[in-house]
Amino acid sequence: MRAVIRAYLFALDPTEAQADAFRSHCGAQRFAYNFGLALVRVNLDQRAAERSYDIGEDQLTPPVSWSAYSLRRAWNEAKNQRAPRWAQNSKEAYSGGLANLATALSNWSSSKSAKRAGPTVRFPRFKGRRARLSCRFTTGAFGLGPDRRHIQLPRIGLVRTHESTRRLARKVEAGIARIRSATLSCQRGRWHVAFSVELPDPTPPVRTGGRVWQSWKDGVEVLNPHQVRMSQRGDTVEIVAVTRGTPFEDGGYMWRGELRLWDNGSSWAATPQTRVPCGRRERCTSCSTSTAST
Amino acid sequence: MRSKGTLYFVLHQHGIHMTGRWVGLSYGPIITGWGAIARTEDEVRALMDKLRNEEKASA
Repeated sequence: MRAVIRAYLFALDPTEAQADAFRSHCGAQRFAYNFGLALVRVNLDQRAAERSYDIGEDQLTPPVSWSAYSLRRAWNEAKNQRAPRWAQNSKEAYSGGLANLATALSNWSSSKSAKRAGPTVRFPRFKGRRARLSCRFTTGAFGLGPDRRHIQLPRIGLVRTHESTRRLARKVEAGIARIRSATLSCQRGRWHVAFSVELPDPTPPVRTGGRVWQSWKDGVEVLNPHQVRMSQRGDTVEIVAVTRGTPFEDGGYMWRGELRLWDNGSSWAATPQTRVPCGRRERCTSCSTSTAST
Repeated sequence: MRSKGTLYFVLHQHGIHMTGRWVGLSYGPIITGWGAIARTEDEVRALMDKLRNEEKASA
């Protein structure tokens, strides 16, 4: 089943203690990010300095892996010394920061080696105290609360929302939505949570593949069955004729077109710019149907 | 291109076939007709018969 990812954003109404916990988690994510970045940067600088002394590549300090897994392992080894009170926050806060760093470094690396399209990505920078407060949870006890006025976050527990979560709760209860992650953020002094939700693609798959058109030859109705090849991407369907309904000598040709699917309330319709198999002028003079005009 | 036109097709709710109408302009006259797209030729012929019968019934 094809799926789409959609975000559901809810404004939160935390207590003072919960707001402190939010800030602590966001700070933890920033701390882990900076920890990993320092680790990688020191290693890169060391290797660059060694190269400047004409030290051979095989004798350089070994490179540090910047995959999320390697960074998390380095963090787990160092966390008791670097952050003795790390257990006050969910481990997801630290993992999220390291995963963000791994993505940032990967983007920089692929941009530097011209494997990535778009604007040049510069080397990640350390996040300061004034950086946007944000923390993402991908595992653990997070989701919607038992009623439609609360959400749940790991270690923090139930947090009241300013608005009803009904629009998402109904989909989750019906089993058609799956919450992938929750991102906590502070925007203009207000806390929000954004759920990343996997939903079935609302666009129906087109399974048709065949043929047959009514056409007109000298004003007489003709059925010209022919095969078409269809391909769908999202709500766009491309149709290409692969056989001729009318022989080449009689003006038949391979036609192609593009349709867009849209929901008209009661059913799905496909419409649009396409070239129809209507033959040459001498073959298509007029039409006997009531909607035809000349 | 010798001809251009447009289509209006209604898709079956399970996406197994679609039926509708095409309109085209061929060096002057505007012409139109029924169209059907399905998996097999038998299916589309049945759909075309249904479309034409419905048109006769409504006329």
